[in-house]
Amino acid sequence: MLSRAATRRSYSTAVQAVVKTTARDTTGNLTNLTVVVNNSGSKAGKSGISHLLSSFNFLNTGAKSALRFTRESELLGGQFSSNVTRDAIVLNTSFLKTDLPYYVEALGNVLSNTSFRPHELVENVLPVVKSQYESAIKSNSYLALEELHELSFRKGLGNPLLYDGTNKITLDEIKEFAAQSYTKSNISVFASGAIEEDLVQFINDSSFSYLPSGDASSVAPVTLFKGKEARIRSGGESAVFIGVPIKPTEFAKYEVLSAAIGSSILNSDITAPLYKLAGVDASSSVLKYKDAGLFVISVKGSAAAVSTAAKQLKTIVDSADVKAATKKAELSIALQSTFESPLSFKAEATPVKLGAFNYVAIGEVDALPYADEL
Amino acid sequence: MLRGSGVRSIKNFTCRRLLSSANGPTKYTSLSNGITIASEINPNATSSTVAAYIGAGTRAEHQYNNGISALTTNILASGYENGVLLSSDNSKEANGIIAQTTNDNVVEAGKTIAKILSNPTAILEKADYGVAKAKLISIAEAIESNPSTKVLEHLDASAFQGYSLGLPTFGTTDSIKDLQLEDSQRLLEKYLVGSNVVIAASGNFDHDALADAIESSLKVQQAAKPIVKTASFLGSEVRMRDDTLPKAYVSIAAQGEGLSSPAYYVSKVAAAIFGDFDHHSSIAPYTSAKLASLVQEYHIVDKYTHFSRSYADTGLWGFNAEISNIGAVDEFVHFILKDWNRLSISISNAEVARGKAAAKTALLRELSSTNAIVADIGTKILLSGYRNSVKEALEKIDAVTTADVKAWGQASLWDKDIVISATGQIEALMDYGRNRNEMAMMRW
Amino acid sequence: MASITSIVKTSDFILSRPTLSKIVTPIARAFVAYAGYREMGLKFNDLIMEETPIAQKAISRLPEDEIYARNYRILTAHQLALSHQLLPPNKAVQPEEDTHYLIPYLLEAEKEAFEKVELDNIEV
Repeated sequence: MLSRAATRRSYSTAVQAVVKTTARDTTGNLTNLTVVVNNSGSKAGKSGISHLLSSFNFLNTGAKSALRFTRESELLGGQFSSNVTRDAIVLNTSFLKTDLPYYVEALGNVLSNTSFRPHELVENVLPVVKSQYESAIKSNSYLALEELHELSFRKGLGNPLLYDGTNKITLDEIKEFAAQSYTKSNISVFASGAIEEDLVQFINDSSFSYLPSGDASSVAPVTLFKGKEARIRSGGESAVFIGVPIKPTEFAKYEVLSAAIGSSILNSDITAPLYKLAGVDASSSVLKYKDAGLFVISVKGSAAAVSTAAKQLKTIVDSADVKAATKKAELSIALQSTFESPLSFKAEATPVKLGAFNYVAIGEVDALPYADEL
Repeated sequence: MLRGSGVRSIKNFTCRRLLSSANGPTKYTSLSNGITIASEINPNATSSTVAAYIGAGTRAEHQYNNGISALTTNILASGYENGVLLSSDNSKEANGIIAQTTNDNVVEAGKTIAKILSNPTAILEKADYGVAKAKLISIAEAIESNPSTKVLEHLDASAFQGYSLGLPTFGTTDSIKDLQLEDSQRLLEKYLVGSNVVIAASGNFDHDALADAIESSLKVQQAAKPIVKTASFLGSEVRMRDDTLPKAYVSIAAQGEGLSSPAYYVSKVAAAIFGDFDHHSSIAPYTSAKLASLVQEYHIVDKYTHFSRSYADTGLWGFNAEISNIGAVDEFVHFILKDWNRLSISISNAEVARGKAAAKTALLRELSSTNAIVADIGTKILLSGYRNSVKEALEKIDAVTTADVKAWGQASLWDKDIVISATGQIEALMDYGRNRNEMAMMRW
Repeated sequence: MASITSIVKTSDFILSRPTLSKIVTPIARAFVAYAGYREMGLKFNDLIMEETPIAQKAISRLPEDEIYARNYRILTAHQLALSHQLLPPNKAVQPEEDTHYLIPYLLEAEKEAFEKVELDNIEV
């Protein structure tokens, strides 16, 4: 029942995997096996549909019930989860190295053979999706970032990340979205702690080979919008968010700018200008997506303190010493680089002015400045 | 007991020598001044971490200088210089000065650490204590304002009341207010000594180059390892009822195992058998643990986790739960404690096998970042004198049998005192005696 | 009580044997005629005991129109019982309308329950 294959090595021939595969062996005993389904994150399809589809992952499949899979997986000590990002649906599993074939088969079943029973939508998917959405919107930062994405990209990357229940989505629509998304050309498999030849063979022997080949779905080109503003009245913490939508080629110089003014990745760097702002929690980050990015500066705290601090942001950015921050940015890039999404660009010390930006004020907005007052 | 014996024996070597690394990729170097440098090389790491762990936390404090270890390390380790990002890691028994850097810059990180350890006074004298104290107070307050972490902090406080181990990790608003430079100096004088410092590193770099860099620039006083104050577990409860909170937050624990206890891994497996549960996850109805299938059907709990936390000589073993169905607090506590009873009498082989597998992967998953690895190396060597390799740990978990788990349950859980900590809407939480009685059965 | 799964299995077995089926089918027809539930506006599946966790789960999973029709039939039957009347033959449920609308849901719910029992008692 529980297939535990021996740690057999097959050096035979370099067989081509049916899906894009990246593997590296490690000295440890744990394997992290990740499937990234590109072009199917919240930017694709109807708003929220990818969140619903993602929540269907690891439920009943034609080969195995969700109950049986969960129980078997727990007996092996493995963990699994499915998350939605703006770019992709990401399925994560981690388990002992010897259990690789079991999880390859399981992931293959999820992608090619999920049952999509009508009662699962009502009993398993919708309550989970609703609770995730409700806990997310308790955070003003989440709301502000969502708004900032909408202002900066409108459609696509501007779609809400999670399903909010506004538009009705039927099971058939989810099934159709799955059929479009779960195709060989959309899927990349990453295995840290596995031998490439073994992985490729297991994948080719598994239900991954039943996936339709699909054509690299063409995503509408991203348009960047600047100079927009939104104000959201809300209880809780007050905050202002500044967002500059950028192209992938600009990631490098904005990483340096972020490191120079105070990056959320290097959050113990008390020497950075943003961390010196009095009474507020301020930081910046570069949100990197496949076709675009968003450079974000956030200032959170009490409305009065945020208001004072926000008016200094323009000066801080425009006077940032990017030359001195190159090394810092390299560290920041190294810290953000992961096996699944390695960052290949080098830090680039080009001075950047803030220029036109999008702006979201949230919380006690009566006391927060307007974009043109910054 | 045997605490620190490993470090003491290493200290006796007058010259530097490379210790065995047969069990894993961790390399140890012992410097002439007693400091151990341990690195775990990971060729896949994108960045490296070098950290100095000092064996001083709340256990080195008393209620009037509570927070001084965290404050001192926070001041010593903050900011950025020469490609090295400094931060700190605070816990009740050890505090770490963490330096993160790119792989090629690791020697610089080692030098930065050495510079901080060699002349901390210079940094402390330049620092603005007011700002640092305000920051620490905000951390301490953040713990108190999050009901889940508050309950855990008070669980320790109640279990080890009257002992320094029970003091809050980051101090309290009152105790931090009065701290000053002299307090830091007094702390470092006693605790920043060669035998009480471990330098741990992880990433993709050359161990010997790092060790050389640190040895050439590190000057730390030699002195005997300070004696860790004792702590003893007291069955007790603390109720912080607050009906303005949305849920009931309850944590109950029995005394657990110390880091060097022979039953360390058995207690980890025992905690993994009951596991974690989240009502709002799509697999909640399918989770294996008996307790989980009981509680999910009636939604008497939103979320719980089981833990087996270990300090140098003692520990806490129990659960932390959030309950929005506030009328069902008594039922949930009843079911969970009755399920604990089963550990001593009728736990099945399948449950133990599942617990072992979960404990193994949890152990491996914890060591997934360079920061987590240095924390593990640093605290274990400081507190128990040695750190076994991952391979050894997995073998020990593999060796746990159902009989071992039952024996541990009978020795450590069955009819033992418990500590209860709760906040939120806890009017349905039964009195201490009722819950204490659930730790055993009249018959089975 | 025999599980629905075993009943369905038995009936499939009977129907698969021409001889057996020739004996049992007329008896079943006679049973239906004497039971008279069709004249009360009910389908056979409406009579299956619903006070069990499995039946509750199955009913909760019925499509909306099915659950509406089921409730309507039960109301009709109650009304007929109260007023001591039967439906005229043209309004009674016709044999081809007496479908097993609930059985597939019951089978699925039972399968899940059986699987859970099996996995709860797994041996390693």
